Amino acid sequence: MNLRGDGDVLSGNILYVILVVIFTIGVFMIIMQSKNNAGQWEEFYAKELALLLDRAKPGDQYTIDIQKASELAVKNGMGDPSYIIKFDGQARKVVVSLKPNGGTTFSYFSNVVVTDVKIDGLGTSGNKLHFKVVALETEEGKT
Amino acid sequence: MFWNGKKGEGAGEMVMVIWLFLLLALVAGGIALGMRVFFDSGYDVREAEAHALSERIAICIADQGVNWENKSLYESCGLSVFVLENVGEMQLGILICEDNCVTGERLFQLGSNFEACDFTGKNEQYARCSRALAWYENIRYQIIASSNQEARRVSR
Repeated sequence: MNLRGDGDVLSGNILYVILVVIFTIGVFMIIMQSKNNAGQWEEFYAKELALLLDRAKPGDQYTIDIQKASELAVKNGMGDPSYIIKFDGQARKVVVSLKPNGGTTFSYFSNVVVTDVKIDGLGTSGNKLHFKVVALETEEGKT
Repeated sequence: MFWNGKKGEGAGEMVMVIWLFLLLALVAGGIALGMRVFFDSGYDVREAEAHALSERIAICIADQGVNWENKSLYESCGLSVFVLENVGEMQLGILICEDNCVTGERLFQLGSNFEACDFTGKNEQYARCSRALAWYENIRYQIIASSNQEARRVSR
């Protein structure tokens, strides 16, 4: 009986199994990460809000359901609601961040700025973003 | 590791390991490609943005007219000079013509390559366009707006 030979085959098979398990875990992690897909939701919210502002008129007030965004933000460790959606009035940009280390930005072309931004406390249901649109009164606006 | 030291022996196992890794790599590549196609296709609002721009300009011209000599389009229509002429360079375009843009006079132009508007269905990379008409003081205007703006990732 060649016990030494049997051991080699066994260790080879164990190594196979370990590699396959590592591979499976890796693939599963990639799938779960993509399923969270904060980047795509950031893009969705940034573009939809920019389109809203493209069509907005000064004086308009909006309340937007941001439940999905807040769910993702909470899951990704974003505790402060003021960081989720930002309106850069100078650069006319909407910046949406659902991850701690980055965000997605999209420009709007209308000459308005957003004020009175308020986000209801972060939770997992019924989160709302409230804001008001006002005309931009700068030298550029008068060009 | 899979080689037991004797010449020739274990070579078959080695071939099988390489084959296994190739197979795993192929499966991983397929999954990655599928995920990319399914999740990273992007959210395309170029057509909606072009439509919003052309509609806004058409309403603005029809309501109050625009002084073309002073180039007061931006001010009259509440458009941001900063975005349209800097940030949106090569991404947002406006072409306004008297009557039509084939034979009529071009009154205002921002950007170029409006000819690509006719080929938008054929190439994903081309800007999406929207056409609108407006009448003011018995003059017909054609407005062509184009958008190729993509979202940008920023890091903190």
